[in-house]
Amino acid sequence: MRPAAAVSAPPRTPLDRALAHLENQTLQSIPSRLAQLVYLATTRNVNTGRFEHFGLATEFGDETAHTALEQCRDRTYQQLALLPVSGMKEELVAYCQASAQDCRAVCAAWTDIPVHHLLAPQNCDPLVSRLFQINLRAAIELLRDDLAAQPLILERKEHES
Amino acid sequence: MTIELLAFSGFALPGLLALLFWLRRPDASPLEHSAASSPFPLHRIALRVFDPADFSSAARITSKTVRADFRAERRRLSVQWCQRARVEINRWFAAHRAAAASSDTASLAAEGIAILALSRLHTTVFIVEVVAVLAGPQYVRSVVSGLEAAVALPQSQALSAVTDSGSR
Repeated sequence: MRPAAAVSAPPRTPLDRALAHLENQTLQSIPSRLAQLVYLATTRNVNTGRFEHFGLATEFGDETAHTALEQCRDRTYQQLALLPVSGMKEELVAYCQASAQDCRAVCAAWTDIPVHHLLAPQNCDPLVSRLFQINLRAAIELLRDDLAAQPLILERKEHES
Repeated sequence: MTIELLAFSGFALPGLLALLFWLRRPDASPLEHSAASSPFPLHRIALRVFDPADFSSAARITSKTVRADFRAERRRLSVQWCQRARVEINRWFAAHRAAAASSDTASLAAEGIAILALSRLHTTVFIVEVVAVLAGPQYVRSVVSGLEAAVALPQSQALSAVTDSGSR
């Protein structure tokens, strides 16, 4: 007997469709959750506090685009905050590789600049937010130590990707 | 505090041993199994806050200052989690059992459930500390007795077990 095929119900509301569009079209091409979070955070207009995305807004309207981007950012942030320290470190390495940035430069910049404030949702649970910060800091230090111990291996990996 | 903990761990040892035995069973973690559908969203956070693996990872950080900061921050976060758990679980309990329980037993039950939620803890000392933080030293015995009874029951019945022990 053939198992029933898993058919996912089509998204109903415009928000559902916008979320599906965002995840399937835009975020799928970003191979790290941390990179996705940075991308989503940068779609927020610092002057208005609203999320803006031309393609989504054209198709679904400004309000729906804003809500979809915000919800997606919140969810991604939560997922990352609840990763173990080792998982956060892997995300950081994947982020550096995905954005073609030098890991050392990213570690240095993210230690000096309070990047977390740009990434965190405004109404985030303080426990979750603190956890994110503590673990990110530990992940940066672990990666920095790795780079000091094995600079050639990581550099080679970066070039290969 | 250390003397209190030692004293309480003395008479609470059988209960704690039973609790540890239960915690080590592979299918015994209500936290892991019910995180997704838990009435307490804090379960998900607890999974991370109390995970010893994070401390193992951070122990490899070479900078002593950063390492010490990490431990201190996570420990502070643990205490904050316990405080929040106490408030939220009390609220949840009050909403579900308001008619049936007095405030004392509700509080004990909340503490007991919070400890059940901490089922990934692996050391006796740490469990005693958490019990003390959650319940206050004077309640350690009652809560541990409650847990002793509760661990043999499904999670849905643990609440009643802890409540009963609190009212004894």
